[in-house]
Amino acid sequence: MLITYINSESNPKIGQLSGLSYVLKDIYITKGFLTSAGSQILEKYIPCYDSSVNTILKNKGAKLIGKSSLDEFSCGSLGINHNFKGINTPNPNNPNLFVGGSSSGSAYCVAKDICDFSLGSDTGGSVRLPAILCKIFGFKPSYGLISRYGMIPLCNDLDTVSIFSKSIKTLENVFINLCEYDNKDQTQTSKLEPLTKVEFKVLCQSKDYDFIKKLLPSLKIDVLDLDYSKINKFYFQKMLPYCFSNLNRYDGLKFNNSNHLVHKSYQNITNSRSCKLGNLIKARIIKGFEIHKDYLNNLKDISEFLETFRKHFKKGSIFISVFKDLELQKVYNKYKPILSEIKKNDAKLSISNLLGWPSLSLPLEKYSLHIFTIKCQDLLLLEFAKSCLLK
Amino acid sequence: MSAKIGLEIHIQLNTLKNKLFCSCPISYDSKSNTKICEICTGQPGSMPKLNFMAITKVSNLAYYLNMEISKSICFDRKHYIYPDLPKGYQITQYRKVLAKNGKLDIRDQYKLIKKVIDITQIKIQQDPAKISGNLIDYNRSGIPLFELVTSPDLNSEYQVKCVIKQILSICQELEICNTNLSTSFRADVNISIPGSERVELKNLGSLNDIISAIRYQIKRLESQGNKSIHTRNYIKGLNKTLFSRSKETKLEYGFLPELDLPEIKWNPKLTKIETRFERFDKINKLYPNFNVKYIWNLVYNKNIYDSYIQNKKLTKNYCQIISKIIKQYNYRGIKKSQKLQEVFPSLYKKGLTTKELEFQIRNILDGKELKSKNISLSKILKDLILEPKFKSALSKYKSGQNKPLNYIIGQILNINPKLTYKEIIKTLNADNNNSEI
Repeated sequence: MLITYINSESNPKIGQLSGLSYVLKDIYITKGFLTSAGSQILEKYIPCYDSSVNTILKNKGAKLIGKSSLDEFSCGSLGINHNFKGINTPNPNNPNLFVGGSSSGSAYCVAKDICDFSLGSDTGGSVRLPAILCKIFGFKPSYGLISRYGMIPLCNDLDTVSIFSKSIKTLENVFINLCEYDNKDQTQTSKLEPLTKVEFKVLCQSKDYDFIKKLLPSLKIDVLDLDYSKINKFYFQKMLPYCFSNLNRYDGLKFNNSNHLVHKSYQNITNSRSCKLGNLIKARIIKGFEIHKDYLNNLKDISEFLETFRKHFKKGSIFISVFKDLELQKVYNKYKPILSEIKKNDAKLSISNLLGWPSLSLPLEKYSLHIFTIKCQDLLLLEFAKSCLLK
Repeated sequence: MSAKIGLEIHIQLNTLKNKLFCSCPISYDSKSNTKICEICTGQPGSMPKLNFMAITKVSNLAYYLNMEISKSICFDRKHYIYPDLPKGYQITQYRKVLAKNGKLDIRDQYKLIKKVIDITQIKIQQDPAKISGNLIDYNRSGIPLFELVTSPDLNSEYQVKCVIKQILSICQELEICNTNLSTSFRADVNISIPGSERVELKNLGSLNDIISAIRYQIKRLESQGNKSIHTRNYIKGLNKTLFSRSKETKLEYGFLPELDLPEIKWNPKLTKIETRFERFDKINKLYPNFNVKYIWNLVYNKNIYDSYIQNKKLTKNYCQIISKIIKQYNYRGIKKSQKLQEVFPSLYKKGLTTKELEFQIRNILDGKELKSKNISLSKILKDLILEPKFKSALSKYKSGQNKPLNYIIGQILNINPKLTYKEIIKTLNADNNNSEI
């Protein structure tokens, strides 16, 4: 679902991505074109600069065709946005199913073959969940590999530029091109590890063990069960304070392409924030403000938990979760969703954001796999995905 | 009853070329909102990039003040909503400040150390935009600042004045800040007297304001006391401080780490820079019977100190001349086109009188700008004599009065500053003699 259609220059540059068309989630800044982040508060915002990823893609010859819909400011996992232009992205395969969010429009455009690939952003599964529900590839690379400059942040150390595509080759090609160094992003500190031959070791939850054993009989499989309630708690402890912080700049007066230099009163700010921000966002800002004082204390617990988890991983370890289509149809049913299961699924996805590790959702017949591995081993993960596809 | 005063001084690093988190130039005289980019206007999605020069410059000051300098540099967001703050938070230092626990000697008017005070911390932060009338000018947004906090060791507005002057003087010498620019600093002052709660005076922009505000506040505390901690603003026109907010309603700033600026580890290798104060102490120790005012002038410029003062046997007469040159130079040096150390050798001649020196300096300093007006003295006199005021002054001089001479010479030098004092006197006297004959 496109919010803005863009007619790019007729003579695109020639490069490694020539001939490919793409769509950007509407949180990527595009110079001269509306960038709304799916919110009324930015409904007239025409930026004065370009995001680094858009510059890279343009320079490599890919063609931007539009900006796609999303949950307001990337907050939400179902693809619901009542606040902006009434756009509620449908699931391209099944009208009774949620499309998944927050990068709902980018997933929709790829699933409907509107473009060859699209960029979403993944803070806690915002790319991988819609990819699973739309049956396409959704790849969240390691944190710090791709420049975030010009991407409207939700939580600065969880947000990752992520890619949707129907072809894993296109996805890999785009990913490698996006890893270009950008001196504007000081957090782009990771280096992609070159591909080397290693033996894969699979880790999974006990309930997925039998299924994966059947699927990958030749590999060694270990069981690693997690306390998912903790992951959800940790995710919100990290994300909510920054949701409050990053949204503090939107007063409804600045960034609406009118004369933002005029000094207005507090009353106006309060009014426009109450009118123009959606209810979910407002709730998250308030919660984020309430808990931001504990942020540093919580951080200690979080890193302790992650450390014990990390110990189970070596180079070549791949954690797999299975999402069966039949179950997904029950859980993400538009009319009676099962919220407890949705929360569990969110936790399965957001663990790799907390770790900053690469992860991929892999659509297969009747089920999807969600796989992740240790930081900077993105190429290894893609290699593993390709080997799964051959089987 | 003695007051306890603590200071928070904010000083702009206006000697840097670029802002703290973007590459926009630092400029004070540009048109509003011309030195801006997506970063300093807080556009969504933009990310800060640290100008590390700010850290190294301020570390020099911290080192000078014997502070412990942090080995890791990180920044935090301080949240509040105000129209001059584009992002809804200011990037500052909260978890780890740049430097802690230093000392500063306070000197009296004779530059002698009277007291040592504690400097609690120094931190780096960005300036918000400037609100002038209806307009927000983002040219100031993102200019690097440092905040220096003293412990409440000061007792009078006089000591406060000394501390601020001293810090500014040190900053000038360490090339952290050009204090000739009026916008270079702001201060918050905390005052309490025994039996009374603390009062905070916010956002004082000049030395005069600081002194009058403290003077007013101490009187007010002595006569009325104060039961609860609160903040007041100084109103210049009324010479009064007015209630701003109490502690209960004090803004609760939320602090969060700035995740877009990862922690930087560094091991600074700094060398102690000698300032005017240390040079003063040296000379004062060697020549205890010299006038401190002369010594203060002698040590003003490091280059002159190195080549004319240090390791030389100083006589009173020699010092007087040099001191005069420097004093005159500073007095006239507002539009300094030449550096003192460049003009100094041509000025230093034996037997020059104060008046001659004055004119010479004026010649040199103004000479460049007025080069084209090289008009001969006789022509100037011919023109000036047409003015009644000048004519009467001249006739008074000719009748033997010496008083109008300054005015006459001033008028002549205004037209051609290259003329020398001797030349003018000679011509005037010759003219005098001629007319008498």
